[in-house]
Order: sequence, then C-alpha cells, then structure tokens
Amino acid sequence: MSASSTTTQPPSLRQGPGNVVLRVLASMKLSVWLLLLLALQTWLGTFAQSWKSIEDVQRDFFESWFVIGELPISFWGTPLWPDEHNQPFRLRIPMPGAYPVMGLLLVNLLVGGIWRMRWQMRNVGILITHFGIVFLLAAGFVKLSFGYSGFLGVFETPADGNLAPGRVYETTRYVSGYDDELVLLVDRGDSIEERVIPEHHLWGARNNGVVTIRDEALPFTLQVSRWIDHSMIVPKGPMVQTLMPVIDGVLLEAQQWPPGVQPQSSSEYSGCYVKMLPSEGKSEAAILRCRRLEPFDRARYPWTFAVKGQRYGLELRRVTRDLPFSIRVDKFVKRDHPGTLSPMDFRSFVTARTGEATQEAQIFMNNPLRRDGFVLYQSNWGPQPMGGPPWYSIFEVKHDPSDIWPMLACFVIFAGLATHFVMKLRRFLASSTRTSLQA
Amino acid sequence: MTRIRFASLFLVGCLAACDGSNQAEFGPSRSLPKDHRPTVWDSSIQDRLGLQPPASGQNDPHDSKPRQWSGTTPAGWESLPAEPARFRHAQWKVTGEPQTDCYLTVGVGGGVPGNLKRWYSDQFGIATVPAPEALPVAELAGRAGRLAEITGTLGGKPGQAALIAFYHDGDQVTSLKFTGPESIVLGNKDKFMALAKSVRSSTASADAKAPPIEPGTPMPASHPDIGTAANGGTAPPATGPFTATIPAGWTAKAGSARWQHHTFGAGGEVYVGQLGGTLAQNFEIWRGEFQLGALDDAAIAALPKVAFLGDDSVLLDLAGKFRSFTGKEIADARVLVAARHEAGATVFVKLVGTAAEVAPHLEAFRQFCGSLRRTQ
Repeated sequence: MSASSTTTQPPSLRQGPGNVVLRVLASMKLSVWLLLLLALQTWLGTFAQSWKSIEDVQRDFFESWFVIGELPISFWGTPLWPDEHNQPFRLRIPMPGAYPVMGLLLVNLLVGGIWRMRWQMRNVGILITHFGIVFLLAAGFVKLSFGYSGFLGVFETPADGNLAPGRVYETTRYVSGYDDELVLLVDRGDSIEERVIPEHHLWGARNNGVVTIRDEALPFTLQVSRWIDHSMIVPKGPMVQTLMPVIDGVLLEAQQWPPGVQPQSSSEYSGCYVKMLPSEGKSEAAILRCRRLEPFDRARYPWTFAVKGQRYGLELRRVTRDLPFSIRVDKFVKRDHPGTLSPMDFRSFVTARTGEATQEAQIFMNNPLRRDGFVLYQSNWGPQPMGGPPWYSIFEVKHDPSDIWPMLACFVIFAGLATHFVMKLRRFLASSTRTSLQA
Repeated sequence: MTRIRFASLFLVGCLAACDGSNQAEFGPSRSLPKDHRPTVWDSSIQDRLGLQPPASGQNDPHDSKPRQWSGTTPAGWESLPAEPARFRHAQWKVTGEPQTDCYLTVGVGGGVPGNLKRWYSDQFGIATVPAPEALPVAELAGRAGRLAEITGTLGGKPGQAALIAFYHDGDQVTSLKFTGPESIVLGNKDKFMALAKSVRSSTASADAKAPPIEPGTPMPASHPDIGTAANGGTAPPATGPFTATIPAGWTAKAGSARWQHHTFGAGGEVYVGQLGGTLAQNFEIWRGEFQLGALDDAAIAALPKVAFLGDDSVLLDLAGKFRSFTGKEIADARVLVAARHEAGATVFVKLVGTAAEVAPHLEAFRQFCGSLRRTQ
C-alpha cells in the first residue's frame, strides 16, 4: 500500500509543523491497522448476520461512523455464559465504522502512496497502482453518495395483445428493496402531487420521540411518533397486553425474530403512528406501515383525509423512482434443468422506450441493459415456483455515476503492477546478481 | 484544562445533535398523471395495511376479492358471528363455556417467528419459543401448517391453555386460535383439529343463492375453473394458466401448489405440471420411478397418442412397483402421463394411483386431457 519508511525522507516530511501528523498519515503501520480494522468489521459483521438482517448489518457496519460489534463467545461449539435462549454471551467491541476507516485509508494512500513517494521512474508502477486504488475507493464513495438502486417488475406482453387489467406491461417505475419514505399525496383531479420525506428524517420519532412536519403550503401539521424500523401489525385481541395506541382495532409492534432465526430484510418494514392536526377542525390519527409493494402492483392505498375540501393521502412506502424511459417485456424465456423447475437460464426480450425512440434488447445473466445512466440486470422472475404464463420479469435497476470506474480502476491497477513487474524484471536481468547466480 | 473542557462540551454537543431532529419537511412537489400512480382513496384498513388474505395457492396478487370463512362446527360447540374488524374472520366457542374463545384470523403480519414469539412470550410469558419446524404438523383450511400447544398463565389467569393451528403466506400468518381453561381446551383438542381441517374460504358472491355448479358441467371457455365450486366453497386450488372440465368423482385438492391438482379414490391423484428438459429426458425420469430405462426417440414416437392442449400428445402408461423421487411408494401402481414439449419445457398431465384405482378413471383422464386449454 503506502511506501515504507526509508532513511532518506522527502523534503516535505523532514521539516514543517505538520511533520508528525504527516508521518502518521503516511505510515505503513496505519495502513496495516486500517486493513486489520476492515477485516475485523467484516468478521464481526458476518457474525451479526445471525441476529440482524443483511440490510441492517450493511447499514450498521459499512455505512456508519461508529459501530459496536458483538462477538459471540463459545468454545468448540458450546456457548459460554449462555442466556435464557442458550445463546452465547456476546462481547461488545466499540469500533469505528467503515466511513472513517475507508476515509483514512484514502488519505493514507494519497499521502503515503502518492504524495510522499518519490516520483521517480523506478516507482512509476507503484504510483500507477496507488492511483488505481485511489480511483477504486473514489468509485465506492461516488456510488455510496450518488448511486441508488431498486427493482422493476413487469409482466410479459401477451402475444395475442389481450392485456389483463391490473397487470403492468410497461412501466418506468422501480422501487427500492429496503429503503422507505413517507409520501404525501395531494389529489389534483387529473394528476397526483407527490412530496416525500426519506425515512432517516423520521428516525427522531423512534422510542418516545415525536417528529413534527410543518409546511406553509399545507393547512395542517403532522406529528409522527413511535417510529419502528421493523414493525408488524397486531390485531388487538383480549389477550394482547400493550401500551401502544390501538387504532381501528390494530396496533403497531416491533417485529422480533426468535434466537437463531436470521431476520430477512425483505420482510422488514417500518411503521409509525401519525397524527394530523388541521389548522381548523378535528385532528385525526392513523397507523402507517410500509407494505410489501410488489414491483408489478400498481395501486396505492394511502391513509386518506380531507382538509378544507382538499383530499390528501399519506403513505409509507418503499422509495419509489421513475426511469427516464419505459420498459416493456416482449418475451420472457426460462429454461429449466431437465426434470426440475430449477432454472438453467432465464432472460427477457425487452423494448426500452423514450417517447417515440425505442431500443430492443435482451437482458440475461451478465448481459444487462445500459441506457441513460441506468443499468438493468435480470434479477428474478415469477410467478414462483411454478412459473407462467403469465410470466413476469424482475430487473434490478442501478443508477451509479461511477458505474464503470471500478473496471477502469482495475485496468489502472493491472497496468501499474505490470509496469512494476516488467521494470523489476528488466533490472534483474541487467543486474550483477543474475550474472553471479548464473555463475 | 480549558481545552479539555471545551473539547468535552463540543463532544456532548455533537452527541446531542446526533439524537435525531424533531422537525422534518417534505421535499419538493412532483406532479404525476393520475394513471401513473393509481391510487385507491379511502381504502379499508385491510387494504391499506396489507392485511387482505392472499389468494390461496395463487401467486397472482391481483386476485384479492373479499372472502368469507366457515368451518364445520364441532358437536357441543357453537358458531358466533364473524368480526372482521377485530380480525376474527370466523368465531366459535364451546357451548356453555363462556371462558373459551376460538377464532380464525387471516393474514396477520409479523411472520411465523414474530407470531410465535407473541403467543409464547408476550401472552403466556414463556421465554423459550420453539422453532416452527419443531411443532407438530397440522392442517388448517386445507393447508399444511403447524400446531402450537401452550399451557400456563394467560392474561393473569393460571391454568390456561391455547391451541393454535397456523400456516403462513410469506410474512402473513393465518391462524385458528382456541383458548380457555386448560382442562376444557385440551379435552376438546380432537374437535379443534377437526374444525381446523374443515375451515374453508369462499369468495363473496353478489348472487349468494346461486346453486353450486356440479363437476363436469360444460362451461364457456372464458369461465374460471369450476373444479372447486363443487364442494360448496372449497378453497380453490391453483389452476395456473389452464382451464379444464373436471370429471365426476375427482375432487380438487385444496391448497395445493400444483396446477389443476385433483384426487380420486383412496389415494389417486392427477395434476398438471411443467418441467425443464426434453420429452426423452423427462420420460427417463418417470420411467425411472418404475426402475425402467430410457426410451429413444423412435420408441417415444411410437407411443400411443392422446389429445392434450388441443393437439395430439404422447401418452406414457406405466404399471408396476412405483417409487417416486419424493419417496412415495405404491406396490401395484399405475401411472399415466400425457406430455408434450413446448417452448423449451415439458408440459404434462400426470395421474398416479394403484392399478385398481386408476382403471375406472382411464376415460376420465383422456377427457380431462382433451379439455385442457391454456388461458394465457
């Protein structure tokens, strides 16, 4: 990674007030510690998947500034200091999240591997390699900051042209697999006005918090409370003891998974209580819960209320976006292994359309459709497990401004390593060591 | 020292700021055509919170008509009016035992683990929740499920018990729950199990007085499959993309994931399926169930023909000792398979039973194959 310490330091490190800081930032020791921390995060993150969903682990460990990792203590498969569920004691280890570690690694590479390194011909391969790694880290940062993804589902268009009502045959819409948002819908007659709040703006309503939503353009205020990241709806029966408010016979509870059962991100939905306080009139309350939104399920079912003659809807949903072009599946083909329903290959013949301009493409494993900054991968199919017709096809949609940067970075790293290897080889072939070895 | 104090204050301030804001604002508005975001205003709480029971055995989410639930009330029990608003889609109690309570709840969220935790820990205060697969198998509404049997203190009353038969569709759990004094609940276990087995749903009809359609009745091509209407509201099996005329004496197998799955006699069954591979590859598998070798193309071409999906298809007729790859064994079996290769897959109708059971149904099988049509 970074250059190791040598007896002859570059001038920039020999003098100046930031000498100590620069030495630390440029040191190989720092590189090693950071890589060890990344390994520890990965190790503990893998353990955490026993009691957290993959999405939670990703957010807690790899999209965070700080994390408390937990190490289950057991000996030869026997839990040590087990709890009442016979689960081992977990040693809590506070540690930095991936953000500071990766950030420091970038600085370490820039200072130690590029800026501090002697810019000489003999180091050109190492310099190129370090540039490549920096490029790779930058690609990850751009993707994390500006990229997003989701799933788009659409039915295969019937060959006879008879479209069944309620099914989506052409769409621009795709939905996030995990992230939720609160959306306000305003009924404008021929159109729907949408305004959204990402879920992380509402996390202040966790536990006993209340998040107030005010807007000068709206004749009401909203209060969001009792936010639950992984919620479930429970009917209030006589045996249900709860402190949660019961509305319309149901209440919201945190979804809990028994020990030993890995939570599934795709089955975890946020929920909250919301109170609408109009500027005039009576307030109303409701429970909102993000419901499973099949990509091909078009209809929305918002909580509806009216203020001053205007109809509004409020809904928690998976983050929903639109492509700048529509997708239609002209044909879906799935081939199974003989005697099974296990797919050998499945692919979609699609038409992408922007206005009158169309593009026909085939999407299958390792052959995505790239168009207008978006990449569509063949992800899934349905109905499962028996299949169609009617078939539907599910694509993973990714928008990543740094889409091909990792590939370019790999080329750069390869070029750097190859250059360094060739130069080393040439030096060896021309050296006296070789001559003496031959002798 | 001053620096340390300042740094501490700064740190406390930063941590306080991380506690989450109590103010939020909607982002900019975006106008979309009405048909771009089809919206069901004033929808019911069931629709809004996704509590509508999924269509049994179907993967198409658009079949979400309201369903009515019923069951055969055991002797000594009485049926009570359903209260869907309280998520009691059907209710019973033991006659003369007001402290007993039995009700069907359809499609509650939380998944099996979440609901088991609720029943065991939250309601009975039992810390150890069993894994679903550790519970005995039970049948509820024609679906394979599990039975939770819990005893202990419920709602502050000791000596209580609960029998809960349940199955799930994804994270939605349908359960029949019977609670009350332990002696009464456990004493009525057999009746409870019979009730669970008898529970059925039927789609609410605008013409509820219409007589049931007898199996085998010829229907228009566009009419939905009637195989399930014969029993007066049996849970419909998956018809898949097929329609067919169901022969008399065949009973739709409720809750099956297979297409057009019907039973006859004591253990005979017939269903439509689709598998990857060529006819020869699948024939080799089916013949393998009788310890027979593969057929070559000439032998397959020479097999007798049967009308299937509007055209002639080959008919495989096998008899002998049958052992399926799922472990089912029949000493004196007969298997009929009508199959054809379409779009890279083998579509087939398979009839399995004992030779004595199958013999009277040969013509029915041919008629069933001949009536099969794709709907899509």
